[in-house]
Amino acid sequence: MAGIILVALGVLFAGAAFLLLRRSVVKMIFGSVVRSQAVHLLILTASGLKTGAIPFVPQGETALAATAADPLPQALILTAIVISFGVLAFTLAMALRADQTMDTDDLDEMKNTDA
Amino acid sequence: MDPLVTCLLIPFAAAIACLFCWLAPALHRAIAVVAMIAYLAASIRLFLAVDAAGVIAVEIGNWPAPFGITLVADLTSAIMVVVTAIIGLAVTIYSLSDIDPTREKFGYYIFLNLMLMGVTGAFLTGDIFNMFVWFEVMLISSFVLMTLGGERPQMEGAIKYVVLNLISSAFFLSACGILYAQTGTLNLADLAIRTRELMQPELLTTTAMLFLVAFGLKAGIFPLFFWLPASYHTPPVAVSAIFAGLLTKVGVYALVRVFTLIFVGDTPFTHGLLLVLAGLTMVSGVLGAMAQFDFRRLLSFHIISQIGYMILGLALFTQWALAGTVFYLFHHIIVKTNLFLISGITRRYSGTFDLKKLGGFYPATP
Repeated sequence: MAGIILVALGVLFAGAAFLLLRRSVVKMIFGSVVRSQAVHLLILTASGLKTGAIPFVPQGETALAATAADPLPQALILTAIVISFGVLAFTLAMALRADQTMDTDDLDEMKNTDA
Repeated sequence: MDPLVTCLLIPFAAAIACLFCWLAPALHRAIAVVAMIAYLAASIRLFLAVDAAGVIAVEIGNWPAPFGITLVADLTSAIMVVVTAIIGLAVTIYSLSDIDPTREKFGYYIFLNLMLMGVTGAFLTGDIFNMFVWFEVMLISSFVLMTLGGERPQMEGAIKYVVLNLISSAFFLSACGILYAQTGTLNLADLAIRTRELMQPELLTTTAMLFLVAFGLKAGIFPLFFWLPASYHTPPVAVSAIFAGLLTKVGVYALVRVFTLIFVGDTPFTHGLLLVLAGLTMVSGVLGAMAQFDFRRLLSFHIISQIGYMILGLALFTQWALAGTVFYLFHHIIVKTNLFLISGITRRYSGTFDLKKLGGFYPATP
């Protein structure tokens, strides 16, 4: 299982890097989406994959069962997904506005403010 | 109420209050000024409390320390919050006359307050993942401030600014994930102990480099600064002033935190690298500034070289060097914001940011 996910991680990061290096703004944004998915998968994999029980504390006890999965990486990923979703909405709106003001999608034509 | 939580709640409450009167931008101005004065008072109260009692910590939601999220204020973070408040008040007052009605109508003061909340949170948190969340609060608000108005140079600068900051967030998040996987904790104080016990030194150094890239991109250290002079001179003066004063310095503050608490296992390598980067940052920033004739662009390059001085203090890693870094951070935030505001005033009198056309400004407007 871990092997498959490692390959998937590699493909995701490579794809994200490829997309981020494109000249089109929209493709670059797609790249940042793929990359955030890759990071979420990385957190999940790094914290250990296991086929455990659901992380609920059983009634009458005070601690998780030893077989339970670790809930914290999932909480981290959930938070990160929410954030990346908000950021995606913003970047798409920004790309739309940039396209309206500049009439181009090509990053090579956006060098006027560079030093 | 607890002084730590008050500092976070005031800007947040102000933003919410502004949202409730979305249709009356005049009220936004009043709320923002009142909130900033209250925030300054709250931050001074926090500073006095920390000065009297030492480190203050609050466990949010009453979860005990390594499990719940803690807010921690030591003297450094209290000083940073006070200076944030001073700058916030100054920029808000400047904005009253600088920001045009369209920007005010679309919520300029809301995002200014939210950004200050993010900055305060990043200074006060005692949890590495919580720091990531505050960084995102700060970044998203700053993205909006950067693009608000939607002029062409603004959009050009914003695209670079947004994408590079998102990449640095991804590095930050991966590094958090790896740290948690290895140590089972996200609390900064707990990490400081557990990384020494549990982590292999090689992996620890790798994680340190991930953090260095993440915070280095935000702070603008040597190979990663190019987004800064391309974007900081594009938004209105008040916005670029608060960006220049605060945002890169949050990156420096985060670098100081992690490289004094967590990554102290292999100092010859990590701090040696920081030393080299600091030197290169100082030189390249100044060289870049020499070639500029636009007032704000020149100041943007100047930020970079001064970031180099701060990192140098961290890299030397002695007690006095770190004290120097904190002192210079404080000093730099106030001075750099002022310089940007002055550039705005000069432009108001002379109509240009171009230093070549600014000759004879002093005799004309003494």
